Amino acid sequence: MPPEGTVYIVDDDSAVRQSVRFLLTSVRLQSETFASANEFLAKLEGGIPEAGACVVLDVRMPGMSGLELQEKLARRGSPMPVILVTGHGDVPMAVRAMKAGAYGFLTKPYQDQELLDLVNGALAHEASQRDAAEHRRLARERAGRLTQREVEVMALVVDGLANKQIAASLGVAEKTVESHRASIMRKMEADSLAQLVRMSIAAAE
Amino acid sequence: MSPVGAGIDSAALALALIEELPAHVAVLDASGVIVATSGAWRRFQEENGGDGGACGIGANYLKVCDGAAIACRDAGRVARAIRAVAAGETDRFHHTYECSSPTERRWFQIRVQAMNATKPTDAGGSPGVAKSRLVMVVHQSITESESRAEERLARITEAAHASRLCNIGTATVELIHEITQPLASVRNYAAGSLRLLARGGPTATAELREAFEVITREVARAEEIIRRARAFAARNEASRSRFDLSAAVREVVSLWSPHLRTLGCRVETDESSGSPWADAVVTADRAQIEQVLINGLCNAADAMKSAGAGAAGAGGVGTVSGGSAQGVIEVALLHQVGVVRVEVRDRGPGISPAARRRLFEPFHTTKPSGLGMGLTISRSIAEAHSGRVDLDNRPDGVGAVFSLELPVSDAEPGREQPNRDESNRDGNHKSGVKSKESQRHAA
Repeated sequence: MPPEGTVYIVDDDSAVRQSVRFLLTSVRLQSETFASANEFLAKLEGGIPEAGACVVLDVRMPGMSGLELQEKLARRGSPMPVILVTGHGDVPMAVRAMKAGAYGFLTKPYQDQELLDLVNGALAHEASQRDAAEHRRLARERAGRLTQREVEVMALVVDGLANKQIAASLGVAEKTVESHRASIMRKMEADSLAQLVRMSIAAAE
Repeated sequence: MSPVGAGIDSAALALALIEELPAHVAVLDASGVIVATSGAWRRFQEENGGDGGACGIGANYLKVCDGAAIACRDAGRVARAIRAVAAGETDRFHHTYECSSPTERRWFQIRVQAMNATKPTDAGGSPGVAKSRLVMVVHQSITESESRAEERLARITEAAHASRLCNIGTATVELIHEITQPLASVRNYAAGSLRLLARGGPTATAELREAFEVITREVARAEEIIRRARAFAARNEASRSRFDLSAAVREVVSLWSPHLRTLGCRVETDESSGSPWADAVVTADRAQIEQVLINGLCNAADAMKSAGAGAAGAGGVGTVSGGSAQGVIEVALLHQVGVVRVEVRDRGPGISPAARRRLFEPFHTTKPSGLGMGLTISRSIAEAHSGRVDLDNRPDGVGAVFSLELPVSDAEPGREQPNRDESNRDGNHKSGVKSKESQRHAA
């Protein structure tokens, strides 16, 4: 089952971009095509979704090149993974692209499977990045509900201290620690100590 | 009868004339003894530290040359030429050689010539001279024109390099890029169609039709790119002209000999060893044909360098390479029916069967710094001229033979413009070339 998502294809050669779209459709992947970097940027400004999407970019285009577009996307903090396609097996260009954070680099002629693997990988990568970001956002939001005292107790809990040790360390009754702990678990919406640990790490990131 | 006016001693006049000649002139008797020299000859000896006696009047110039022949091949050739002229076997000989001083490169042309005009007995000379011919030896500095030739060579080399970068670098990359586009889309549509079919079910007639339509269109696009590339190649045929291939070979050999000498190789033509080349008129792009010949010569030099053969002279700019038979590249011009064939034979390691199979593969090379395009380009040039090139092992031992065959044109200039490639293609197919071509393709 392919991951959910949309592939944005940016290529000035209409036959090539339509062919990529045809290939993606044959494996039930959604895609949209753009004839230039500027057209794509304009559509992004107009609000086409960036979540759940990746970009397949031709390096060599008149006007803004694929590399320039990729660097522009990176600067505006776009979460979309970028796959660059080039007609030349140009190592310096590939290095520049990967340094600028490209997800992948394909040299034409490529096998259809290579493109599909990269696209699937990019969409899965984007989805997991998005999950992680969502997880961090939730963790921070929930951690914001804790009182100052609860924050102190949670720090000691995730350090692995038992209630009795925490009570001694904070100079309070063990019963008080137990009630703080229950409140922390409820506010952080954690079912287990392991989940709480993950939440507290995500909130701190 | 005598051209000399009354009351003038013609012998004295002759000596005075020789004295005043601006060139370095010596007159030898048949045994090689110098009987007269020009002032310029004498001064040159003095300026170059000669003791005057070694090459002055009374000295035996043949002995001087024989003595130098061990160290200098040119001297040996001169000695042979003097003997041949003195014996009446030939009337004249000329040879260009390098004789550089520590501070500058210098070239000279030596001319050896029979002097038959006067009979010394008529002028009252000694009876000994009367029996034999006199031989005039002239050394003339041609440094300026040789320097110019060297400059031209450097320019040609540079231009060849630049055009190689240009043509192969840019044109090929452009062509590759252009043709990659339709190929990429054909692959995507074909692969997508296969995946649709593999999905099964009553899907996709409309989608498949779309795919096949685009595939057909994209293949046409690739063909159009190939057509344009062909038209581009054909445009170069506009510079075709009728010329004598033997003259072109001579020019290439003389122009590239200095360069090949620095690689430790010396070029000998079958013409210089006594079978003069007959004119071989071809209709072709002279610059392209010369490029093929230059490629053949350089390949030969590379082959011998790799075999370690001509290594003796390598690096020694301005030195004459050792006379080892292995450092010799032979160039021959052969007339066959309707075809003229140029052969460049080396004494390198020859060609292994494996290498021979891949000879004309683009970008295949056995040389560390090679591009692998030389033979490929040579072959396309030859084929564009209804000719062929080949590289094979020598039938007479170790080494390789590079050959170029071109159809000969009719001796008189044709009415038609040589620029029309159709007329060239159809009009100049001599049976020999045609049948060889088809044999090769059939094989």
